[in-house]
Amino acid sequence: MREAAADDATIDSEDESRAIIEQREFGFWLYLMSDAIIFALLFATYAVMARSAGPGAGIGEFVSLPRVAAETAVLLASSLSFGLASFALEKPDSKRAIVWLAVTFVLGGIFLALELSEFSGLIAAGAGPDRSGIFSAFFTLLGTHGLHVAMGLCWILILAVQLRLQGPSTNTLSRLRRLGLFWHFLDIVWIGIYSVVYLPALV
Amino acid sequence: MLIPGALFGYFAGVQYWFPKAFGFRLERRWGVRAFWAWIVGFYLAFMPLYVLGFMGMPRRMEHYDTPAWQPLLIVAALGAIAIFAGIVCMIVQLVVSIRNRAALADSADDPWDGRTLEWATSSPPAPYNFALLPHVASVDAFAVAKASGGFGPDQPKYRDILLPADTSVGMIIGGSAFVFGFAMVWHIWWLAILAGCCGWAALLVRMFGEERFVRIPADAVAAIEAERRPDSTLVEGFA
Repeated sequence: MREAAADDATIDSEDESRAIIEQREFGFWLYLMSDAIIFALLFATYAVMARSAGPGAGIGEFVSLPRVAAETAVLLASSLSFGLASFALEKPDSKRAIVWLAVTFVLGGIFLALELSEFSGLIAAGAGPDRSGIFSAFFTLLGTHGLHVAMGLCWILILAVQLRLQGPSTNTLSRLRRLGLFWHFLDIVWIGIYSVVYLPALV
Repeated sequence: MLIPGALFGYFAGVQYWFPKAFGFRLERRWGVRAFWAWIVGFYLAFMPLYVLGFMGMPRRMEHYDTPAWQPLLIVAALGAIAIFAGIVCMIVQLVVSIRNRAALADSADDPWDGRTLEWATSSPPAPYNFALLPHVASVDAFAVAKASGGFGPDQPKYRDILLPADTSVGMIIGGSAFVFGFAMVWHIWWLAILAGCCGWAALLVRMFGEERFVRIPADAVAAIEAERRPDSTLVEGFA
């Protein structure tokens, strides 16, 4: 095959470039679905742990409603600002897109800081992951989500630099779309965390 | 439970798809010997252990002082020897197969009269897997096409195939992630930082580098297909 093929090829037609982009987005959907399975397992683990524990064994006494509300608010707001970044790039106005990406980055950073302060508070109060099965499951579920958000922040940073360098190209547009899928997916997972972890703990 | 539940499945998969990956079958006689050695060895080695468990023996003991366990443990040891023979048979099978690969390569494209689509392309597949995308209209489309004998057009129309160029970035990221995970498990922080940086550096190179492609022109595809499947027009039937 090597002798048959030229060293480097260029994309010849619109069709080919569209096919490549479509393949990438399909691949990204596959990744998201496998990620959803991971979160489903972590949710199931937490639910089983929380349900089989006695009264007062769960995270109830440690939950601070204002903090959870603030986390939810900044994360949802970051989804909105991300949407505005997508709109701006479709126009295409990459300067404005970078500004909205920066807003998204700051909001995601605030979320992460709030989550880390919650974690350190819990650990300081003797409710770290080694306290019980419930807390192991809690830290694994929320930690995995938080790690995803942190990676998303790295990705936002990298994409902003690429937008700065390349402007609105087929590549950057497709990457922003995929990052959008990722970011909104994390929002949905957070809604799940809110309803499965925090709401029952507050009731 | 891992041996019959998972490992035997892996073995089956290796025997089945080895020709898909390498273009020649594994030698049959040594495979049969490995099968019997493994299956007899497994039952001989583990069934006595279950009985011993009921007799109160814990797993993985360094030594034991209960004479009543001795006979069954000897049976289990015989089973372990049989399993070892099975492992030896598999190694011999691999060596013999590689040595006789020319003879074992006949009909390697579809050695088991397979029903699923992976057998519709050559073994090992060309870099593009399928020269023409199979058109699937029913369950077991490949088996249906083989049974009906209707293989479609005689003159397939091949098109240029654009593939991503080879890159070592995936290997570097995967290797770094493995080392990173290892270092985190054993708290080797400097190694974790190093591996993490390597992985990220490779990722950034990939993200900022220009994506490279390889184009296989239609006539080259036709040549590869003609060379790989000289006596068959099966694959065109799916176009």
